[in-house]
Amino acid sequence: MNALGKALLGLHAWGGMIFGWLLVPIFVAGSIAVFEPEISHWMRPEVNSAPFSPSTATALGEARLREVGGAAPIWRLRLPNGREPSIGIAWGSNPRALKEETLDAASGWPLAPRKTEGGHFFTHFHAELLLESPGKWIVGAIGIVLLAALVSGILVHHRIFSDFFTFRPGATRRRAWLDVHNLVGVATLPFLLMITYTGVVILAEAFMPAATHALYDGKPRANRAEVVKSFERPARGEPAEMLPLTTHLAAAEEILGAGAVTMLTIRHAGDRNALVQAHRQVNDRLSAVADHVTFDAVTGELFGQQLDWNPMAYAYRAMVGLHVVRFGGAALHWLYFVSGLLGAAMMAAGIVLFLRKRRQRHGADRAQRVLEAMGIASVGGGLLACAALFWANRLIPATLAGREQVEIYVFFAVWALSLAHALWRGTAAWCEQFLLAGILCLLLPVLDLATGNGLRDAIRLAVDLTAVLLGGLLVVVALRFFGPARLPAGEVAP
Amino acid sequence: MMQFVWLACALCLIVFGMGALALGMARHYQQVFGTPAPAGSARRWRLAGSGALALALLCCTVGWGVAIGIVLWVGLLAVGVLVSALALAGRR
Amino acid sequence: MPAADGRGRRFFHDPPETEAPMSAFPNRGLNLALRILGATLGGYALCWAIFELLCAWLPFERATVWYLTGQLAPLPFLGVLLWAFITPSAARALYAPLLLAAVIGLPGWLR
Repeated sequence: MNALGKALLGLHAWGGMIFGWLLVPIFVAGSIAVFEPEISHWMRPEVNSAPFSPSTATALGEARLREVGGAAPIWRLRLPNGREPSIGIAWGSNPRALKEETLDAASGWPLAPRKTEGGHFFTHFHAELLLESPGKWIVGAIGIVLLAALVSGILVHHRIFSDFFTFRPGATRRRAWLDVHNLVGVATLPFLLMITYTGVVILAEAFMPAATHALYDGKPRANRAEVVKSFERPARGEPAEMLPLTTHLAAAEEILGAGAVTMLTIRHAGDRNALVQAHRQVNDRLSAVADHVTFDAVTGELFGQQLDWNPMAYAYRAMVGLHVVRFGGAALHWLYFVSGLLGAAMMAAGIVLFLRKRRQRHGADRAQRVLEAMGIASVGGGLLACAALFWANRLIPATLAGREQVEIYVFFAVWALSLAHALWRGTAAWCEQFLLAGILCLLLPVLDLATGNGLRDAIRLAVDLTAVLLGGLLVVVALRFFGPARLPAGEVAP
Repeated sequence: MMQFVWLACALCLIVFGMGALALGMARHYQQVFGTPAPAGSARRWRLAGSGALALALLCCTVGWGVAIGIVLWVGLLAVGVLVSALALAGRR
Repeated sequence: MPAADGRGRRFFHDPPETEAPMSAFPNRGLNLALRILGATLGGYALCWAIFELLCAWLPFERATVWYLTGQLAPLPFLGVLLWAFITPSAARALYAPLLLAAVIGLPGWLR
């Protein structure tokens, strides 16, 4: 290999392995985050999955808002849908900090679900490593390194076309691992390039604000204000009776489509200048933009609407949409879920490859043990921590104050323990951690049955079944790929 | 649910299509059929494979619209590649 | 590494093995540090400069330019990162993107 190829391989291998330590958990969390609403539902077993209708839900939500919303300038009503079968209401004066409540979709009763980050934990970890602004810089940098690893990987792949379908599980362990790494990488290449590029685009708004500085004097979200039309007016001070929200819902559905309204926002409820804004769903288009329409709350006449968008903003939001995959229904969600896990597996295989190669060259020296431990903690530990979060969610008492923080502590505690375990046990930890993670997943339905308040519904069942499938897969991987079986003489596990 | 039917069709076509593309490679043809590939067979297999993949794209766009259908199709290609590779690996 | 097959891309794989030219920084740690610095600082500076240029020169409305630059953001970073590790000279990894950023950014900044 010439110098250029060597340099690219060095960047690919070292960059890939070191940044892979965070990339594998980010990919696993991202895959799980595809099902954020379903997992949040699983993690709040107090919420019933009742049959609902948009108009009934609107009426029930309005009734409750009148009780608790009082004179708050902003009321918000999230209608139930197939993925979130409850009514969400909120009220307050700061749109970014509203008081919230969850209502049963059929009866309108306020529910008191346990405090938990729910599925949003995985989204938050995936996008920012729970760190807000510095996290966006870190994950952005990691994404850029992944893009470079993908490009360099393509360039140094010796036989990318002739080895397209090649997988030789019976060859030497190293050949087999390289085949897995290459095969899975090439098969998912379009997905990986797209998801990484769009991910960096999303984060770049935070870590590369040059355009905001040049065009808007550094004012954040000024670009959004220019593109999303705002239809607001101050309160007049005169009390007036609003038309029922169901009337506004029907009027909104005329314009946005039947069943397409996801959220109603009421401003200055009870005032003569009150407005009702209806937002449209985003799950039937690629671009993550929500058309919206606003009515005068008292007379019902149209106050403003936005059904068209700046084409460049639409294209940008299509990139966002491609990443967050709210579109396409179950088929696309499962596709992204599987592809993301395959990407994580590809990177894990790369880490294993690097460690094997280095071990053959340098033996089991101190650095090797540390690198092995980091790799095991990243892959096995990451999986363990995710599984542990589900267990923590059900085992921590529902009424404990601050329990959402405790769940997160458990996640990181398990992860830290896995690093300690890997440092102690060496390469045997691969099998042990995968086995433990697999068992935790396999037993999830038992946990759900035991702690689920008897409210088994389709969404929670789907989560349980997926966990069983993944658990079985992890156990198989643990025993077949990392297990102490069938090693040709001189071969080192894994 | 019509979408399920379109998905099943697309998936079958993609798995077949990728498998056919694989059989259009001399190495894999020999692996499956035991004998070296006769002249012209590679071209025929590749044509059949591409045709199947194109039909699969049609199924996806009919079921999900053009934009989302293309995304779905590209994603399903990965499944086709992996299934074919695993099937071939089983024949070694 | 197995040899490339007949159709393999020659650009990266064929012998003769050419030794990387002797770097001015034989200390591998310094070599690596310079490249990492070049990738991060250089990439950031170049991206900023390109954005300033586009924002100053593109004749579209503000929001259009903003959402265009947003979609292009990963590219300068990716390019500089690859460059920083394949360029034979570690010093070049650092000064070249910074120089390019200065050259590009100056007209935009002056406006």
